[in-house]
Amino acid sequence: MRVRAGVRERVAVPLRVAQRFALLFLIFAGGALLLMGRSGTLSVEGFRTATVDTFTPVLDVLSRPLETVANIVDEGRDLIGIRAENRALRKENAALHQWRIEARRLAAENASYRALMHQIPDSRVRFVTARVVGDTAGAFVRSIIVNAGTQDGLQVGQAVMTGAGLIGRISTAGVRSARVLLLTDINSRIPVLAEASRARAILKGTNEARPQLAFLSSNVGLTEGERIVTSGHGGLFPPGLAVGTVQVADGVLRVLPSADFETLEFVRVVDYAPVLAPSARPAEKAAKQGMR
Amino acid sequence: MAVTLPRPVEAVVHLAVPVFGCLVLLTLSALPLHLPFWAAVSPNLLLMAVFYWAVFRPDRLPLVAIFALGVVEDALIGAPIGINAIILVLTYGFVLSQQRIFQSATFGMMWVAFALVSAAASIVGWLMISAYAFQLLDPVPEFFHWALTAALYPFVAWVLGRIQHALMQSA
Repeated sequence: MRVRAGVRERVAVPLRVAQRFALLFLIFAGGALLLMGRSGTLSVEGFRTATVDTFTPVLDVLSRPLETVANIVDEGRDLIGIRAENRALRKENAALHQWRIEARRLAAENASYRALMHQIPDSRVRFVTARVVGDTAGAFVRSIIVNAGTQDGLQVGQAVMTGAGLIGRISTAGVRSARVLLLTDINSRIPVLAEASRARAILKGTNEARPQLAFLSSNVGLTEGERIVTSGHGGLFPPGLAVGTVQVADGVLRVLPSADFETLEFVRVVDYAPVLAPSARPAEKAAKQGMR
Repeated sequence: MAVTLPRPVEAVVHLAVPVFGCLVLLTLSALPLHLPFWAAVSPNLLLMAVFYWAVFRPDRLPLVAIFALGVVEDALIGAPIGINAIILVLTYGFVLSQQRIFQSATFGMMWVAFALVSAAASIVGWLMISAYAFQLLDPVPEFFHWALTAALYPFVAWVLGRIQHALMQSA
C-alpha cells in the first residue's frame, strides 16, 4: 500500500467550472469536425495526408522487424509441408504447361482478330510496388498505409492488388505515403463483373470479411463460386482484375476476396491511364469515384 | 529507480512524457502485426494511456492535448475526424468527475473500472460511426476490439507506471 501511495502522490484536480466548459466546448468542436467532414464543407484530406506522411517513416522502420518475425514463422510452417507442396506444384506445373500453349495460341488469335477489326488498343498498365507499413487500428475502418506516394507516381483512385487479386483503391495520397481503402471497408464501392455470366454489379464493403454484391444488373445465371473481376466502368480501374468468388450467405450475394487480407506485406498499385471521352476531365472523374 | 534530472530538464520531461508516450502508443497500434484478424480487433492503446494519466496525473495531460491526440488518431487510422477525439475527451471528463472513487481504488478495481469505461467508449464509438454511415454496423468486431483492449490494460498500465516512477516521481 505504501508503494501505491507513492504512485498516487498527486495534485487532486477537481472538475472545475472552467474545465467543464472546456470539456463541453471540445465535445462540440469534435461534433462540428465530424459534421463538416461528413458534409464535405471542411477539407480534411490535406491534414490526413500530412499526418500519415509524418508517421510513415517511423512506421516504416518499426514494421520491418515485425515483418522479419512473420517471415520466420511462415518459413517454419512452409518447411513442414514442403514435400507435399512440391508434389502438388509439380502436378500443377504440368497442367499450367498445357495452359501456356493454349494462352499463346489465343494471344496470336486475338492479335489477328484485332488487326482485322482495327481495334483501339487498351491503355498501358504500369505497376508500382509498395510495402504495407500501417494497419488501421480499431473496428471502424478497413484501410492500410503504404510507403509510396505521389513521388512514386501514385494517385487517388488507383487500384491496389496483391498477386492473388484486388484489395482496394488509393483513397488519399501524400508525397511518400498513401492510404489504401480496402474493398471490405464500408465506404468502398467498386464496379465489378461476373466472369462467366457477365452480370454487372457494385461491390459494396460492409466492414466484414466478405463484401456484398449490390445493384446487380441481372442475377440470372450467376452461380456460387463464379469468379468476379473488375468491370472497368468509371475508368479508374483496368477491366479484368481478379476480385474474388461469389458466395451466397443468408440469401445475400457476397464475394470472398481472392487476396488474403491478413498477411499483406507488399502490394501492387496499378497505374492505369484510362481512355477518356474528350469532355471528361480526370479531376471530375476522380471526384465522382471518391463520392461513390 | 528514480532518475535525478536538472530542474529545467525535469520540467520539460514532466510535460512531455505523457503526450510523447501517447504518441508512441498510437504509432504502435497502427503497426501491421501480420496476425489473422489483428487489424479489426487491435487494442486501443491510446485509450488506455488517456485513462491512466487521467487517473494518476491529470495535471500532466491537459484536455486540449487529449483532443489533439484524438484528432491525430482519427487522421492516422482513417476514421472520420472527430470520433476518437470525442471519445477520449468524454473518457477523460468521466474519469476526472469520479476522481474520489479512483483515488481509493486497488489495481484490480482499476482494471474493472477501465473495462467498464472502455465498454462505454466502444458503445459510444459504435453508435457514432453507425450514425455517420447511416446504417447499423456489425457490433461483433467492436466487441472483440473492446475485449482485447480491456484484457491488455494491466500490461500497458504497468509499463506506464514504471515510466511515471522513473521520470516523474519528484513532481
